[in-house]
Amino acid sequence: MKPLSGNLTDAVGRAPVISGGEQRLLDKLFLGLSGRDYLTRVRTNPLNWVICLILVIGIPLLCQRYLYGLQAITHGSQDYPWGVLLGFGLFGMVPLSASGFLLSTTVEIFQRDDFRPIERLALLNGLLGYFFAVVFLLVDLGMPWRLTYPMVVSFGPAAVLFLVAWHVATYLSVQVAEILPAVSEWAGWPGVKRFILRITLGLTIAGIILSTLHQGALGALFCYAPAKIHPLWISPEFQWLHFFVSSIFAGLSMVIIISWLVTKTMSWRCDQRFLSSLDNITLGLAKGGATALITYLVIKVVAVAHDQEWLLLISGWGFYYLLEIALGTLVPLVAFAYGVRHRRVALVRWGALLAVAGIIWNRLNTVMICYNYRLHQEVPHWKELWVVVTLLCFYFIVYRFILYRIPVLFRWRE
Amino acid sequence: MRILLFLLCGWASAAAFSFAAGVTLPSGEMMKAPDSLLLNSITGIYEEVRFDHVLHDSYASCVECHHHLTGKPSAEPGCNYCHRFGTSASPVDCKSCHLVDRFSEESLSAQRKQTNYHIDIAGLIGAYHLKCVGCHLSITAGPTGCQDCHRKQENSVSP
Amino acid sequence: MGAKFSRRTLLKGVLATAASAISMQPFKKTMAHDFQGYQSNRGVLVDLSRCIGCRNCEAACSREHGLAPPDEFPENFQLLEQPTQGVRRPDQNAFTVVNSYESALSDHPLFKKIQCNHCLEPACLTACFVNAYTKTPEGAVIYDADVCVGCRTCMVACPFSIPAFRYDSAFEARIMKCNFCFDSRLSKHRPPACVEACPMEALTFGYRNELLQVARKRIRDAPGKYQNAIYGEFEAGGTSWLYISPVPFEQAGFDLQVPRQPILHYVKDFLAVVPMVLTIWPGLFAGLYLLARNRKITDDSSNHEDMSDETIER
Repeated sequence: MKPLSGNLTDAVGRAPVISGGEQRLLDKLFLGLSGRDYLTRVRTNPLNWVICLILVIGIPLLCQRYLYGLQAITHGSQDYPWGVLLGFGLFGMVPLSASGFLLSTTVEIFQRDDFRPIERLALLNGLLGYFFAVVFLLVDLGMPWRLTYPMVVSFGPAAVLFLVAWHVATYLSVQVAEILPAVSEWAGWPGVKRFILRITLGLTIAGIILSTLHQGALGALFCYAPAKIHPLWISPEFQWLHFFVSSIFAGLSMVIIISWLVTKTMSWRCDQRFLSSLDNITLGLAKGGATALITYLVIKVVAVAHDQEWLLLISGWGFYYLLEIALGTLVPLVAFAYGVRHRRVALVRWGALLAVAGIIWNRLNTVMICYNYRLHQEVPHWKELWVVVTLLCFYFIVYRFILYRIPVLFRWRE
Repeated sequence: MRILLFLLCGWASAAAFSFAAGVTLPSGEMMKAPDSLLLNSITGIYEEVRFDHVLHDSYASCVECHHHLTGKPSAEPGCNYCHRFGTSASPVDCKSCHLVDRFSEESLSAQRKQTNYHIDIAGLIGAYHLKCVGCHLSITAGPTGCQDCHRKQENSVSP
Repeated sequence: MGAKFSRRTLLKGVLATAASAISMQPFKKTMAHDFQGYQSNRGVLVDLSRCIGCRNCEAACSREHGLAPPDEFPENFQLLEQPTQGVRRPDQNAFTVVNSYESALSDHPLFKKIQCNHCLEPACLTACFVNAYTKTPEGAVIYDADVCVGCRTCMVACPFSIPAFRYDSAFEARIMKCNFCFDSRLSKHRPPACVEACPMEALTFGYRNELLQVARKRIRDAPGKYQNAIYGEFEAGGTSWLYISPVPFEQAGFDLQVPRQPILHYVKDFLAVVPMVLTIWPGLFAGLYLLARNRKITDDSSNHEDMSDETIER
C-alpha cells in the first residue's frame, strides 16, 4: 500500500488506479496493480509492520481466550464484570459510530446537499463501528455462539439489553442497505442501487428511530446499578438522554477526524469534490457538534441540580468529573465555536479529537472507573488491552480496504 | 437401735437426694432424672452426644434448661411476664417441643396453628446449641468446640 | 314524547347497555409496583447474634451442589481469625460465604453469611434479555444455564453483587449463584442445605411474611439486643433472606445504599419512552423532510434550476 507520506508513486513506479467503469475483478481488488506490485506495496508500508507486530501477539491471545475462557485474558473479576473490551469496544465505539444516522438525516431528511460528499464516509464509519462493536461483543460474551439467542431462542423483552440487541441487529441491516449504493456501483449492480435509492427515506427514518433508542438504551443500561456508579456519572432519570445527546457530537467529531485522516493518508483516493468541499463540511459538522455540546453541558447541569449533587462537585471524584467535562466537552465546544466563527478548520479538528477522547473517557468512567466507586479500583489486564488494540487493527485494516476500493471518497465514473 | 437410726438417715438422705434429682409432674408423679443421656435424635454430620446429667445438675437448677418444668419461675425474664406463676408442662425432654424437623412443611403449619405467643420455637439442633454453647460461652467454662462434644462422622467436611 | 319505539332503537339501546355494563366491570389489572410478592414466598431469617462462624453452611452448600469444599477449614469452629471485614464474596466455586467483622459494640467478632437474597423483584431477572432467571412461587430466583449468553448484565444489576461468572471455562461458562436449593429441596418445600446444617439456628426457614413477624418478635423480646430494623424487609423492593443484627448494619458489612425501590423502577421510565419514540419519530422526521424538501423546491424554482439535476448528483 501507498506509504503514509502521500506520494502517489513509489519504488514500484506505478500509481494505483482511480477506479471507474468496467473492470476485471482482480483490477478492482488490486487497484489496477499486478499482484506482485500490490504485495510489494503492502510489504513496504511501515504501518503494516506495526500492525503485524500487534497481531503477532494479539491473535494468539484471541486463541487463548477462546480455548481457555475469559480468565486467560482478563482479570475475571466478579466485582467488575465489564472491562475495557465492553467499555471501549461497545460503549465507546457505538456513540462514535452515530455518524451514520446523523449524516443520512442531514442529507436525506434536512435536504442539505452540501454534506453529500461526506455522507458515504459517515455511513461507512457507522457501519464498521457497529459491526466491530459486535466483534468486540463476540470476544467478551461468555458464550458468543449464543449471540442470536435473544433474537430467536429466548426472549426477555423487559430488559434494556433486549432492545439494544434487536436494534443493533436491525440497524446493522439498515446501514448495510445504506452503503449498498456505493458497493453496487463498484460491483456493478445497478438494480440494487435503484432499489435502495427508492427506500432511502424509509431507511433513514428507521435509522434515526433505532439510533435514538439504542444510543439511549446503552445509557439506560447503567440505570440497573444506580447505587454502584458514582452519582455524578449516573442520573437515573436522564441517563439515556445524556448518552443520546453525547452520541450526536461524538459521531460528528468522528467524521471530522476520519475525513481529516483520509486527506492526510490517502488523498490520492479522494476526488476533487471531496477535497474542495471538506473545509466547509468540517465547519458545518462543527456547527452541529457545538449545538450538541452546549445541549449536553446544560443537561448535565440539570442532572446535577435534579439530584442535588452540587456538594459532590467539591470532592475528589467531583474534581475528576469537572476535569472530564472541561477537557471532553467545554474545550471542544470553545474550539468548535471559535473555529466556526473564524474559519479555523485546524482548531475544529483538534476540538473534534478532544471530543472523541472525552466520549471514550466518559464511557470508560461510567463502565469501569466510577463503577463500584466504593470498592477497590480494578486495573485491566494487559492482555485485555492488547486484544482491544488487536481488534482495532482489524477494524483499521477493513476500513482501509474498503476506502481504497468502494466509491466512498470518490465518485464512480460510469 | 443405732442400726435403725442409721437406716433412717440413709433412707432420708436417699429420699432427699432423689427428690433433688427428680421432678414432680403435674399429675403428682415423681420422675427421677437419669445420670447421663445419649442425645442421638440427630446424627448426620456428627455422632451422638453423651450428656452428663449429674454433672450439670450440680451446676444449674433444673429450670435453667428445662424451662417448662418444676413449677418455679423461668430463668428467662422475658418468659415471666406471662408465666410468672410457673405452671409446669408434662414433657421433660427437649425434643417434645423442640422438633427435630423444625422446618418441614408440617412443622411450619403446626407452629402457625399455635394459638399462643410462641412463633419462634427453635428446632432441636438449635435449641441444644443455643442453650449449651450459649451457656458455656457466657460462663467461659465447658466445651465449646464441635468435636469436644460429638465426634465427627467419617467423610464429613464439617468442622 | 311520541317518539316511535322501533326495533332499531331497541337494538341500539340493548347494545349500548351491554357495552356500558361490560366496561363497568372492575378491571383486574395488576401494576408492577402494587405486587407485594407471592404468598407462598419462603424466606430465611439470618440472626447475626447467633452465628458463631463455624461455616457449616458453606460446607453443606458445597456438598449439596457438588462444588469444591471450602478451603481453609480448620477443626475448631471458631475460625476466621483475621477478621475478613467483608473481603470474601461468593464466586464461581462458592455460592455462599461467611465473613467476620470487628465491631466496637461487641466483644467478639460478628459473622455474617452472604448469598443470593432472592429478591421479591429481582434485578437480575429484570436485566436478563434472554429470560434466564425465574422467580418461583416458593421464592427462589433460579437460573437457566441453557439460554444464558454470558453478557453479565445481571452481575451489574444485582444491588448486592452476588452473581458470579465462571470465567475460567471456555465452553461451560455460566453464572454461579445460590438457587435456594430449589431443585433438590425448595421445590419439595424443604429448607435449603445451609439452614439444615446450621447448629445455632442462626438461619430460620419459613414463609417470608411469618419470618418478618418472628424477626419483630425477637427484636421486641430482647430490648436493646438487636437493631430495630430488618435488613431485607424493604431493600431492593424486599428480599427473601432477612437479616437482624446486634450492631448497626453498616458495621456488619451491609450496604445501606441499596435502593428501596426494586431495580426495575429505575429503567421503567426509559422503557416507556421506547414506544413513544417509535411512534413519534416517523411523523416528526417525515414532516421535517417535507418541510425541507418544499423549501428546497421553492428555492430551486426561484433560482430557475431544474429538479432533475438533483438525481444525477447521486
